Order: sequence, then structure tokens, then C-alpha cells
Amino acid sequence: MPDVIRAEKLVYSYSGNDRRSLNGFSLSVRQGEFLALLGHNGSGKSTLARHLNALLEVQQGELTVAFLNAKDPGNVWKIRERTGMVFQNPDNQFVSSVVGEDLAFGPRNFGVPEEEIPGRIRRALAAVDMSGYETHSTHLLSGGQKQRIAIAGVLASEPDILIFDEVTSMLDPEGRRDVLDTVARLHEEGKTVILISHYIEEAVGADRVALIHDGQLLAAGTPREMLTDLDLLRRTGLTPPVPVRLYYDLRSRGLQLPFCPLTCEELEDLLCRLN
Amino acid sequence: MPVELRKVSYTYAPGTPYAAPALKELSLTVGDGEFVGVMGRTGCGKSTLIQLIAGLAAPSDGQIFLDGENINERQFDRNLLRQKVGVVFQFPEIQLFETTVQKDVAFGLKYLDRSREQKEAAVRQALEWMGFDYEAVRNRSPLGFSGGEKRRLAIAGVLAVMPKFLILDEPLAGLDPLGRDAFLELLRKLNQGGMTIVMISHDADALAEYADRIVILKDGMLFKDGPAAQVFSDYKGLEANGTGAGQVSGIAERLRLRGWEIPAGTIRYRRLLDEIAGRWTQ
Amino acid sequence: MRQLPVGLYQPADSVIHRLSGSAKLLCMLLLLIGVVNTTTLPGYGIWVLLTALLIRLARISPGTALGSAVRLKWFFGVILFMNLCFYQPEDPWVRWWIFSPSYAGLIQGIQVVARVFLLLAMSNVLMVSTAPLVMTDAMERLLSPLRLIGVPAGLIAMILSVAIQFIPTLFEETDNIRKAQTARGARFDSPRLWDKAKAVLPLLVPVFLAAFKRADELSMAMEARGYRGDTQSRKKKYPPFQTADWLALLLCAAVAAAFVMIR
Repeated sequence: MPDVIRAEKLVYSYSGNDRRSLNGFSLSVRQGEFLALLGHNGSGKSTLARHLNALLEVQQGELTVAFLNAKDPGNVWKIRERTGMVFQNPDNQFVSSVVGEDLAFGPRNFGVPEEEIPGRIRRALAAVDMSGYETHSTHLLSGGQKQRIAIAGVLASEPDILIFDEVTSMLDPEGRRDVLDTVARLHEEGKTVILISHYIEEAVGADRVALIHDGQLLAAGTPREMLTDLDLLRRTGLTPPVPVRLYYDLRSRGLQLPFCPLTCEELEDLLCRLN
Repeated sequence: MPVELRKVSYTYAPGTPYAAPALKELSLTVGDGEFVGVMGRTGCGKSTLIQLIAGLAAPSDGQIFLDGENINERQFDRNLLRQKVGVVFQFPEIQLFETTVQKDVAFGLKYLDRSREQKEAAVRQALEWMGFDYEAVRNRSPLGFSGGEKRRLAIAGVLAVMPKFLILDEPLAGLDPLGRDAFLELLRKLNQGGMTIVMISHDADALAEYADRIVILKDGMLFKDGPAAQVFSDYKGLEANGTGAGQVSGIAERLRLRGWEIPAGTIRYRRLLDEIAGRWTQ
Repeated sequence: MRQLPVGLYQPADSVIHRLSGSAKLLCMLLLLIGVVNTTTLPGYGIWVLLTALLIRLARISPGTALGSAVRLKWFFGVILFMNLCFYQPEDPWVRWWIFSPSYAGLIQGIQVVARVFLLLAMSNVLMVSTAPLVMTDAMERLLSPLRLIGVPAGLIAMILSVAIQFIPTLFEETDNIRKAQTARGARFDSPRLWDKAKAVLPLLVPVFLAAFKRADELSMAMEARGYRGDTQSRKKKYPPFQTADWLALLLCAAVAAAFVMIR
């Protein structure tokens, strides 16, 4: 698969701030890939996300998104049409308090013919498991439902790449699970997914995990490679999943499991094989 | 002396088509020095509970006592309530407004009868608890800090009055792992220093590790109330209720189902590690 | 459990819902001209009946339509009282201290209250029966002649529409901040005026900051979904008025004209 996103040595500082939010960040994403980008608050992950949707201009370095050069101002609208971005706060993403109207906002902006829009809205709502909500008011939805409508609002423009910028951090466990299920399903349906988070559990199901720290890529690899590396996680400012902690703490007591488990299921199997 | 709720009911917007009961005859006592975790699904009445204890809303029915006094009686001294009960609301960082950190943290002390030196010492103490260097931050604008730092500043503003009773509503939401762990350690320290803590959270892992007692609300009523080790041992019941019991309890339950003898009450990481290591070496 | 915000659009299939947004907006302006030019009590009686008819036609429950007006009952009470006692001190029923209630004052008070009440009820019917973006388009269409003198009509309409929709959220936020500051010792409920005045800053600063933050995030989300401000909407074609739209306009114009002429 070709690289649908290619970032090379991106550098970015916000005006009035000497600190470099991105400091030579490089990363490629393959088409159809599910990439989890992990980092602590202030590591530069949101700044990167805003580059991927051409919301921020490239100051230094190279960036192609959806095979388009992001440095070419003529590509800004094409890039925004090909990439969809969902933000953290479910309350601050709606232009209309009527679900159906809000969903039509993106397609209208991108010049989709009016007669095509109802079909797009229907498909987008079905994709987030909220069919029939066209006439509902956004004010009366739960946090998780709001985020799913926000995702549908992005899907209505039929982008290839989806960027989720900490979309679960303001949700309760139920809403979080629903949103993550939706994300996984969209990936299965062929979308390229970039999930930005500081919850390490959300990265377990990804194809690849990238760790960002101080505006640089620390490492990228399979979830197993990344999430079982204690030293790497510590440098990223993340805490390892419980099974990984148990593996290392047991080892320091002289009890060695055959390999480091990533999930509770794996840990259970490993331990029971010993018994 | 504790906080006591006696058959407290609360109805939203009574007399309108939107009227909805938020709490139904809830009785609950929180003793001095406890660390209580409160859980429940969105809309179970948790936020209402906070507002009632803090005296920001009055119950439709029933009484609330603070140190034996009914807080909704006319002669009850509200200033005393503000001084004894500190409340950290969800996303408290939005309440910062003063020009300097010093002034903002001292806001709650304004009406208290304390000397200038006492007030300054309280501000210094609160900021140091929250991990700030007093001299370095006192004259800075509280709005120029990062999101996580702002939250700590706002909490310092609540701690400055040295409440003996601290209520927190989802204080962990949006914190990254290091920020979360540091904050939980701080709460433990305050609790060990004698402060009563009531923390509302969805984070079952955090509550299992730090709280002594767990209260779970469901539809405005008590669903569970007991020592954390006991409440979180009902793994299936909590999963079914949508609250969850945390990863440690989950692993313990899995191993139990596979025939391991993991005793009930294994809800904290250290204990689970000891249990597994113990079984293994046998 | 959240309360349904006042003026929230409620989808339904009614004569009023089906009218085009800009026709409805124009009709409302015409009716308001009529209301402002009403000078007799029977005139206001007719308006009350007309408003009831509108509510009926739009298939809105009276509670929803009058909600915002009912919330202002204290305000109405004060206005009525002030007019009653101070409007015409020359010819009062009785004189007591500074109060001099008069018949003219009573009539004037009722009229002022009726005007505000009708205005709120009618605009509520409009809001409840018109989807937010339809309203945006309607405002944009009516403002579009101003483009000739360089006014960005689309932008203004979008700003107004988004601002209106954020009102319920901001109310809720204000309430949260008020509670948080009260818990910190702010004295909003103190009977002393000085305490109240001092409590304003801790409320206003956070509310403004929060509103700015929301606006910032929303504008980012809108850009991400392809919004380009005024440039793109210039090409927009508005649907032509239907017979029903013309009919409604004609009716409202006739009613307004009648009241202006009677005066």
C-alpha cells in the first residue's frame, strides 16, 4: 500500500511562543492503516493533527496528505475534503442543533449536489449506528452520541482519512466504548484512521503505534513492540497497561513468563498454561 | 463529625413538564477521614449529590447535616459551610479569573477572619501541595499556564481554605497518565493528613487503588455502598451496571474462573502481584 | 436530565414549518410593525388571537411557544407596576408617598407588557418552526442586498445563527461557574449590593474566556469541514418563493397595513 500521509521533519511554533510544538517530526502512514498516535498533554500531537487537515500551514519540513502537497495553498480545500477530523469537545463541533442539518454542512461546503445530500446523511448516520436521528436535537444527546454525530458529520463528506483528536477524553466509559467501536468499524470498512490519544488501552487494537514526545517521533512499531517497552513508555510519559506491568514485576521477582502479554486475555492464557 | 444525608430527595424543575427525580430518599453518612469513591452512570444523581452537600441546591425532601447541624436551616452559617466543604467541579480550570495566581488562589480566603500572614501561608501551602513553587508562580497570570497546570491551580484555590471535607467531580478527566498518578498520590497525602475526600469518577482503576469505600448510585438510589474491596469484588454485577470494577479486579476474576485461588478483595495492583507470585511459586 | 432550551427548533409538518425561511422572517417583521403600531386594547386583543392562531397553525404546544415570555413574569410585573404608578402623575386615583397610580398608567403598562409578550411569542414561533441553518440562509438572503455596499451578508448570518445556538450552552456554563465560585466563597446571593457587585467579575471573566474558547474550537471544526466564510456562499441560489410564501406575505402585509392605518 502506498503512503497516504508522509511527514518529513515538520517544525512548528505557535506565534508568540518560542517553544517548538513540532520539532522535526517525521512519519508515514499507509493507505487503510489504523495508526494510534500516543503522547502526553503538550507533546505536539494536536499540532500534528492540525497539519494533517491543513488547518495549520507547514512552516518547515515536507508534508503530503492524500498524495497532495500540503505546502501548496491550492491544495488546502482538497486536503480538507479528503481528510475528516473529529475534535475533543463534543459540544463545540456543531453548526446546527438539528442533526440532519449539521451533517449537511460539510457536503454543502464541498459543493456536493443538493439531491445527493440526503443519501449521504443516511449512510453517515448508519455508519455510526445512529440511523433515524436526522431530526433530533444535538442539545439532547449524551456525550458519546454527540461524538458519534460529530463523526457522522465528517463522514458525510466521504473522506478517505479520518483523524480523531482525543475524541474520548471527555466521555464516560459507555460513550467511550461506543465511539471506539465506531472507530474500529470505520477502519474495517477501509478508511485510513489516525487515533490520537493518551489512553494507552485505545492503542492496543491499532495496526501500528507511534509515540510522540517534545514534538518528535520517539518510535513507531506494532502495538506489541511499543506498548511492552517499559523504557520507551516512560520516556513518552505514559504508564504501561496492567498486564505489561505484571510481566515486568513478576520478572523482577525471578518469575519469567514466555513473552510479555499485551491484553488481559493473553496474561490469563500465559498464567494458566503455567499452572 | 461527619456529613450525613437523611432520606434526601431531589427533583429537577418541579412543576414543569421536564420534572425528573434526581435523588430518591437517599441516606448516606460519610465519616471524618474517609476516602470515598462515588460511581454511577451519567444521570445517576452524582452531580446532584455534590450540589446538595455543598449547599448549592436544597433538597426537595429530607435533611443534610454537617457536623450535626442541618445546613438548610435558616440560622445555619453559610460561611462555615464554605470553609468546611471544598468542591472541585468538573474541569475546574475554567473558574480561574484573577490577574495573578496569588490573588486567584486566595479568592476563597477573602471573607475569612484570618490575618494577612495566615492567608499568605495558606496560599503558599496550597500551591506547594499542588506541586508549584510559590515564589515562582505567585505573580504570574493564572491564564498563561497549560491545561493540566491550570487544573492544579484551580484546585489549589479550593485547598487554600483548608476544607476538612473535599468533594471532587471527575477530577481525572482529560489528565494524562503521569498527571493522573501524581494527582491521586496528592489526594492520598491529603487524606492521610486528615482530610475527608469524596471523589466522583468513572475511573474504576483509580478508585480501586485509592478509595477505602465505594458508593455506587443508580437512578438516584444507592446501588452499592461498602468497603472498596467488597464492592469491587462483585465484578459481574458492576460490569452489568456499566460502572466496571477496574482492570485488577478483571484479571483476578478471569484467573478465578480458570481455577486459580485468588481471594475476594483482590482489587489493588500490589495485592494481585503478590497473589500471582504466591500461587506460582507454590 | 437537561431542560429543553427555549426556542429550540422542533421539527414538525405544519403550514408554518413548510414556509420558506426568508418569507417567514419577512412575515414576522411585518407583524412586528403591526404590533408596534397598535394603540388600543381591543387591537391587542386581536393580536393575542392572531398569535394563538399562529401557535396553533405551527402545531407547537402553548407551553413551548410562551415559555420564554412566561419566564419573564417578574419583569412584566415590574413594568406594569412602574407604568401604573409613575406614568401619569397629574391625574392619579390616589396619591401616596411617591406613588400615583392612574388609569392612563394602567393602560400604558398593559400595552408595554403586551408588546414585549407578543414579540417574544412570535419570535419563538419563528425559531421553533425554522431549522437553524434555514434561518441562517434566510438572514443571508434578506441581508444580501447589503453586499452591494460591501457588507459580508453570509458571514453575518452565520455568526448570528451560531451565536443563537450557543446560548443554551453558555447559560448552562454560566450556571456551572456560578456554582463553582459560590462554593469558593463568592457571594452572589448576598443581600448586600456591594457583595453582589464584587461577585460579577469572578463570573464574567470565566464565562467570556469559555465563550472565546468555544468559538475558537468551533471555528476550527467548521474550517475542517470545508467552511470558507463568505466567498463560497456568494454563488448560492435561493429557492424561489412558492404560492404559500406569497400568500403568507400578502396576509401579513395586509394585517400590518391595517394597524398602521387605524393608528
